[in-house]
Amino acid sequence: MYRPHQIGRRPVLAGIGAAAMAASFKLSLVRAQALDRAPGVLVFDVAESLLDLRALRPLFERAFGSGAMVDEWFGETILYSESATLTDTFAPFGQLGAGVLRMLGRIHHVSISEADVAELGKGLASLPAHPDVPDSLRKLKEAGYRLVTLTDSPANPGRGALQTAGLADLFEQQLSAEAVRRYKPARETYEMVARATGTRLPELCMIAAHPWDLIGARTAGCSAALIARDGVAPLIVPGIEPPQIIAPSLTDIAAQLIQLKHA
Amino acid sequence: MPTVRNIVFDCNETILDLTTITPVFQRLFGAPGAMRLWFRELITYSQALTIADVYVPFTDIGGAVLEKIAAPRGVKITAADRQELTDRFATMPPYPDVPAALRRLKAAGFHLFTLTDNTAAISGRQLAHGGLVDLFDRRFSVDDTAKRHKPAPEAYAEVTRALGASPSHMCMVACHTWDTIGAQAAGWEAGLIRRVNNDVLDIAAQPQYVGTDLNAIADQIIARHGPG
Repeated sequence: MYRPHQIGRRPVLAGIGAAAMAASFKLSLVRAQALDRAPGVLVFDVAESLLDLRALRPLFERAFGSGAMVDEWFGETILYSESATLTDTFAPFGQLGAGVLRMLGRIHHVSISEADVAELGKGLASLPAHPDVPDSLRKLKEAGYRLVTLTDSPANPGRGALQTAGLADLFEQQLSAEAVRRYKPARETYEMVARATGTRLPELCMIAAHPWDLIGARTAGCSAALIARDGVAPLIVPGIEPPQIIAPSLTDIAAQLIQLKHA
Repeated sequence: MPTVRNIVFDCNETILDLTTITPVFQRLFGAPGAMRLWFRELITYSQALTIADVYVPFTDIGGAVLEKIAAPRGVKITAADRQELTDRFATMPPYPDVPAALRRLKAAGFHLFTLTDNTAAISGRQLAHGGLVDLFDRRFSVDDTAKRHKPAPEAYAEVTRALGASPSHMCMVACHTWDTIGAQAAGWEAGLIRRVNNDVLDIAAQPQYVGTDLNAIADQIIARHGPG
């Protein structure tokens, strides 16, 4: 069986900021395009960006014998959400995730029951926040920023994972790509946020741990901040402007954004 | 019943054995699983860039993804490493079931084509190396046509148009469900080879033909659309 956790992960990012990243990624470009003023609205991705998917590991450990399979499940779910967007064959994110779980079951010769699917849904609705998240969000809010979320999964204001984690009240709106039946990184999802917040795309700053999300935000005209959590790095290709902020934790990103408010 | 005349094959992992590039990843990352991570991210980002309407050639996305997964793991990628990956990718051998099954489909009167995300140069090297190049009437690369990566509908529509065919004359054969989803969204039939690490996705459009190797798919296509 494929075991992603065997891949060597050295925590080179921990405690090292943009300097180390710049050495690896030629981020002189990024520095040249650093944000020169505070964005109007901060738009947060949630799963993996604010909330820790590793809480699902026990489920995957039990079903597949490998907790790290959660990364494969999430990665394939994103891949197939993109395929649905490209082919205009929208399916709700929960159905996609359940279908991919059963697909992985077939691939790895593991039987997936309805109870497993239900447990996955329940686990997703009660993911804990990454430790750097609650304080950072509160500080951004206190600094006067407007905070919203934009997720591929359904928005569940009042009863979702953000509520469980005690963070929901910090956001003025929770928005889901499902409303436009196209998933991130489709331009329509970021346009929906601009409409819902009564602002324009260049006023939005998308904040996520997923470079594919920020590719969409940047090409739509938003600014972007990459939370370079363990194992995360930007994709550097021609034609894509990298995120203006790249830092190993939301703490660092919040500090930079708060500085812009005071500038 | 509409009759399929043109069978279009995906290349990487469908007819060519992707696992033969694993040693590069074993050497660089100390883990064979890194190959699967790299390939999944390659597809994830080829789709993300296509959704964002930015075309980047597949080989260049592959190189950028290699850097992306290497840097945070403290792995240094040299020009020689990138060249080794490109060379191994360009010389992946066909799976053992492929040559005879292709000849059987050809003998049954079908026209055979390829449609790949690879550039024509890489694809040409792959098929020449595998001794398969003469079996195909024509080879299509999204790099020459739609400049959008599969499963964008344009990638398939350009092939239909170039052949002066109607979608009902077309059948895609691939081992990736995202590819059969794209072909079926373009109005083609599709066959899925359940290669290792690949299987059907039950919430999406289901391929008309499913089998564990190309022989099984060829049998089903010939039974439905073949002569006699």
